[in-house]
Amino acid sequence: MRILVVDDDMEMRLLIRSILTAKGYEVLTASDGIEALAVLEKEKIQLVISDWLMPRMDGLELCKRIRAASFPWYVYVIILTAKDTKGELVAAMESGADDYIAKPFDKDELIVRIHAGERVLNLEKTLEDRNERLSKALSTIRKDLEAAAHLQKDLLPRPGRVSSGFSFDGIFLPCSFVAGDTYNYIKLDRDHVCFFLLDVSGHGVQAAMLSFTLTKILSSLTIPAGDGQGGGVDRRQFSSPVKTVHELNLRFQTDDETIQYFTMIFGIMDTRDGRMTMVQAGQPSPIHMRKGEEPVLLGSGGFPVGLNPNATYEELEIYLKPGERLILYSDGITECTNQDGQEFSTERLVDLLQKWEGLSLRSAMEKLEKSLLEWRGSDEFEDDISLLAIERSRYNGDYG
Amino acid sequence: MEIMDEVIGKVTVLKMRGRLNSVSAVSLKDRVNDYAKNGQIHLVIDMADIDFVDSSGLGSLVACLRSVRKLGGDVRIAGLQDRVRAVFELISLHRIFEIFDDARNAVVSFQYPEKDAGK
Repeated sequence: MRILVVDDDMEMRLLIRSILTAKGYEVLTASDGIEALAVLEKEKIQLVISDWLMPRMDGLELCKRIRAASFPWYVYVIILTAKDTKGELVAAMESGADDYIAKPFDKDELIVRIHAGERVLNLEKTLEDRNERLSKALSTIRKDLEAAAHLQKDLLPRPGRVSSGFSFDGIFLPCSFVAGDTYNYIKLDRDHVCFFLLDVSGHGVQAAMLSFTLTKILSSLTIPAGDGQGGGVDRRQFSSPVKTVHELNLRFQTDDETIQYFTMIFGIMDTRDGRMTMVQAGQPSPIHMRKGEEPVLLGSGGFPVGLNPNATYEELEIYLKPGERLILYSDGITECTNQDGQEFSTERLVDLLQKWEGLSLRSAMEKLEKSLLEWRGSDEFEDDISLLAIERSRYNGDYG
Repeated sequence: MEIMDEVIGKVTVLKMRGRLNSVSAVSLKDRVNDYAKNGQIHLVIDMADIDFVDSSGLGSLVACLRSVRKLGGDVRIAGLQDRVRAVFELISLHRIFEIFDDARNAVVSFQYPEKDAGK
């Protein structure tokens, strides 16, 4: 180890140097604080033994400068002085010294104090190494999560119109990189589109893993041709919503320990007449925005998927008329609290949707997302936020 | 979360306060596992002071129910606040759990099963 010895007395410098060199230390010397600082700037030195009283800059000032300089490593300072009262000891320690040796000093004591210093420095080094490993690990995890979040966003459908005058749009704000929420819509054949929004219990990575799996499974209900819009297939066989949810429930039964389940709305829409059949598996009631009439909350609940092997499901049916909207959303929206702990609430969501009924779907979604962020007062949510909106164009018929 | 308990005959009543979320869900499951090991399988969870339950919290209640029913016991729920009751009903938990207005009625239901008081 390298030690810097600072003393204005040349004999003392030589004495200490010979003691330390004999013990195998590499020794550098300086004759006052200013010289010492110049050495410290240039060399990596972690232990300084300094006299107190020196011309130009004394030992205490040197201590203070070393502490203020914030070197990338810790510099352990031992003050060596003829002063030997309690008051002096306090002054030395206050200025940032780690230890204090009274002159005339005993050779063995000096060595023992240096050993103590080395122990502190070793601990410091271990801590520093661990911190470095931790921050590397953290940055790797962060990068992984960011990549996963990106992948997940990519799975979401882009806002857009499927043929026959139906538009889709959504809001997606994960509470921690990746979400347990997801939604999608998939054209099944010429006249049918399936849509779903699901919310895996819990949130974060564990929930997101199941959410990824489910997206993949549900998206392969039909194999989209070409552009992902279901292309030219006129007719295809597919299961009813009740059958689909029932099968998911059997397939994704939770084990007793982890209890992971999900709530979902799964529906199929006939684009010829706007008939929608849906299963509400523990999801909040979808909102049917009707032209010139009060919005309706559909359904009253139902078993989540995966929680109860004997669960049975029922289908809801509505007709989405031209100009109407159907809104699916996760409870992350309605239960989103503001700074006073007040919930956003279903009432507020319905009011805002009604207020923006006349706007384009995109503008309404933008405004809603903005008002959620304003309500929360930050972009850090306690639960994942997702919403899928379906609109039937005002003009009946196929113009997509 | 602090979980208080009271043993009334063969029935153990658990009382919790505040939010039943992913953190408190773990304490609840651990506690119920301890009871089960101890042979206490007739449990009442008094939720009168619980004002928020999230999906993990609901999952933990079902986990408790499953582990205790396997041993021939039951978990009964008492004193749901309105908004928590609404969540229970949304995901049909009222069809899995026996739910009572208050802890006393839930305890009685274990002692005099034929009466089915205050359900």
